[in-house]
Amino acid sequence: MTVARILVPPTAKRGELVELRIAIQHPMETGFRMDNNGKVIPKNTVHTLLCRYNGSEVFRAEMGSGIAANPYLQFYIIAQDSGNIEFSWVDDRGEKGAASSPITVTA
Amino acid sequence: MNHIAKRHTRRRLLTGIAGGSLLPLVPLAAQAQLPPAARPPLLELVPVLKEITRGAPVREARVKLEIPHLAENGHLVPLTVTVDSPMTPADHVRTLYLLSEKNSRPVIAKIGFSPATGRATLTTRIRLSGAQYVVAVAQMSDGGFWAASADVVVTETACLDATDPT
Repeated sequence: MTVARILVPPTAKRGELVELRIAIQHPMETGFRMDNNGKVIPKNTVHTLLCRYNGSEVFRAEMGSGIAANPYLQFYIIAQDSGNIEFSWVDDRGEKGAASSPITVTA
Repeated sequence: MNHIAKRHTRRRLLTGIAGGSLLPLVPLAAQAQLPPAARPPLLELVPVLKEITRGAPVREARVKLEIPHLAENGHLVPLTVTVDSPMTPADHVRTLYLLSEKNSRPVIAKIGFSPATGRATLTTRIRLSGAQYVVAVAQMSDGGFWAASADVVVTETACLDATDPT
């Protein structure tokens, strides 16, 4: 389980553009680095990140070693209905993480 | 007298040859003074684009790539891509590719947008191994490709060994 910080505004008006941010704590190992004994550190990146809004996928990021350590993503969604915004991700070692935050949408 | 005449002839001959050989150089010199169109075509810059577009044309418009021209640290280069799209179910950005000219893995990220995102904007932070071009390519829901590129000078490259504290 990896750790992340997410920023989802608690309330929004229907139809409003809402900015979402997520920063996952992850080294995003490139697979090109060596440790102090000269052994290659295996590649380990968060390769897939999904964002679901009330269960349906709205945004997806497939990443690799070209994304900086502690991947940070900022994007938008349109506020439709009150509910949950969920992020889930998985890295090359198969470690999964998830974070979610409720959003209240007013008319 | 004979000697001098000979020299004149030779000089004339030499200037003739020199002048003649310079003539074809003139258009090249004129080209060099044109405003720099230094960047190679996108397909040469990021060959991986061929696999993405499969021969479809890529037009360089509608995509805005904001990235610092001078990045001090290649480990962490902030970037924002915005694609000009109404993001309706009929017309939206389907996929956004971030491509690198010189990284070992040219595909930095592949982003899937949907009409629910409302606005095709992404901000993230990338790694760059050396000064190079970064290319953002958007595939629209109609299958068309649009792109933008930016060159970034990286003073400290994202390098490879663990002696590096990051």
